[in-house]
Amino acid sequence: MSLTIAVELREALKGGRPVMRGGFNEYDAENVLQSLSISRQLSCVEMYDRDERVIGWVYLKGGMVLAADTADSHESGIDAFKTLMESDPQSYCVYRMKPLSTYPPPIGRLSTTLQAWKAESVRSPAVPVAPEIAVKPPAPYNPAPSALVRVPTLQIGKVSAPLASMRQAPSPPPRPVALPAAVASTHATGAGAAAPPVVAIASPKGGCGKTTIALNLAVSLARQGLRIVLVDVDPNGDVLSAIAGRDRVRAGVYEAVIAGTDPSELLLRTVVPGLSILPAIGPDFQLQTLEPLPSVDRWSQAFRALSRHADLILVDTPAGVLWATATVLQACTHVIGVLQAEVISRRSFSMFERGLASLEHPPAVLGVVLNMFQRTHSASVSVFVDSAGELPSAWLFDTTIPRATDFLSSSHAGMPLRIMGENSISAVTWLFDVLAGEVRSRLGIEVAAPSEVPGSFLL
Amino acid sequence: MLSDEEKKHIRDSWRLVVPIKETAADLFYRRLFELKPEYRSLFQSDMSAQKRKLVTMLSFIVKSLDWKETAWRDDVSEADDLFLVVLAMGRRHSSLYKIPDEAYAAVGASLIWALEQGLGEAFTPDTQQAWARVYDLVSRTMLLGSAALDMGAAVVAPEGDES
Repeated sequence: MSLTIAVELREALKGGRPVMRGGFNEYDAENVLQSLSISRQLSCVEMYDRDERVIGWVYLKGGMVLAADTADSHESGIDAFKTLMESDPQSYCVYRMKPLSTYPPPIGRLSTTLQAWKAESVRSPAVPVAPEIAVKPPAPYNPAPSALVRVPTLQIGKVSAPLASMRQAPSPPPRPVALPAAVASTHATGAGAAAPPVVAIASPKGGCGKTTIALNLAVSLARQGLRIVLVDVDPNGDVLSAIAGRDRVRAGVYEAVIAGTDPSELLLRTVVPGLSILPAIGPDFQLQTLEPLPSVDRWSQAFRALSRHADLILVDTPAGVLWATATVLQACTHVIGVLQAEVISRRSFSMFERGLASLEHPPAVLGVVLNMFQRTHSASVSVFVDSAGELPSAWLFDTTIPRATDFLSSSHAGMPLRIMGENSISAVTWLFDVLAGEVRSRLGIEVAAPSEVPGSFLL
Repeated sequence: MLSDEEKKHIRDSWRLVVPIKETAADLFYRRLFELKPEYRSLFQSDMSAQKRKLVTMLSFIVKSLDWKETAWRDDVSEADDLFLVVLAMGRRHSSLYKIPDEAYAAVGASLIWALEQGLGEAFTPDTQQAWARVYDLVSRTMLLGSAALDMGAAVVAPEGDES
């Protein structure tokens, strides 16, 4: 595109009518452009950075990318398009424009232009690691029939598989699981024998998806046949808010820990067999009773009391590793760190390492999950690459959790992902199964294959 | 955007749906309420008007896809522009009818299911894929409409556009 065309289009944009403006719930630029590709009218997406400054414009018509133009006028055409996409716009304004008398030759179809941009992104040295997020089947675990091949519905591409699964009757009840001797013996002898692992989910920073990870991981682990107790240790009660269960709570783990009583009777059962949830606090809890903070021993005692209900206890902690979290962490056997795939969060992660090191009895680090990963996002990828290099070897789980809109709709519905979309399980849900497999294998918990495998297929 | 070939699959298959459109609409809602019984209360008890609206909207979508890529320069009126119409529809579905975002998956699944039941062998994998692609674009745009801050850009929608 020549500079004159850029000027001409910028001029025409002045007569354009804004159709909508905003950040659109984390719609990324690609999504906005895809939607706009069905417009036959001349349209323009004005893109803004974090500080609401205009960074540039992409003009579309009839599925064609007509032109792209950066605010600093340094680039135009496909280069400007790539620059804009790489710069991760935070909000947009979509304009409908009056038709022009003549149109310049377009850059190309939106689909091909997007491909060109992505192909280039892939050539950058950072990305070869990124395909790690590719979905692998859960390794050592034999899925129940209901968990078989549920491809996300209606994402472009494969359609027949979900349709086939939809014709089936509702999912069969979960299969009985034969637990291996090591785990099973714990049940038989009760809390006296090997206590179940108590795994804290922790992160240095709020808002990086700890609760989402904890909840969905708990669901996947339970579905793989383990009895899971998910303990919410955040007095803000994120877990219960995430599943719209606030009004069901009488009292929570804090009341029990402060009083030194058995929290077992406060467990809330869920629709997922084997998964129960222990809320943080009841409706009448007074925050000032947290002075002084409950001791490590009190927490250990509470977790021990829960042992007979669980093969694994997951603990969702408040952000940070200081104050309340520090005592809870010392009562846990393991910790899973949640690292948000953004530079700022990676920096605060070194605080996390230091915080852990400062504890008298630090839990063993089971691993670190990279959350909100965006493969097409260079900052995200660079965090991945850096953290792979900087974190102690083998800390990072193979599975990373992408930033996905599914989380928004699932929290809106007050359900974990899998339970919400039993008929259209998203790929992200599947990733939690894989992550659960990794967690089990790092803890050395095997789940036996279903015992009733028929000898042959034909009768 | 859809390729010319995908658009042709859509048009050709829709031509077969038109004579059985009432049945197709029946199938669609029956399937939807089977998957999500709780959505029944979002609709009035008499579904006949609703079913007509669904068919009208689908007809509109199919008609708006009837153009060749080489004609990308041609213009259409605001009321015929798929993007603006669907955007406004999404806005109404969230603000007026309080349809939750996660309903889109079940609606899409019901649509594909109803088409498959109605068309039988004519619903080839290519046709399936084309419809899935249309639904993907339409639902994305509706969600965009529901997420967008309304700037007062009222858009005139074709008659009976609710699905």
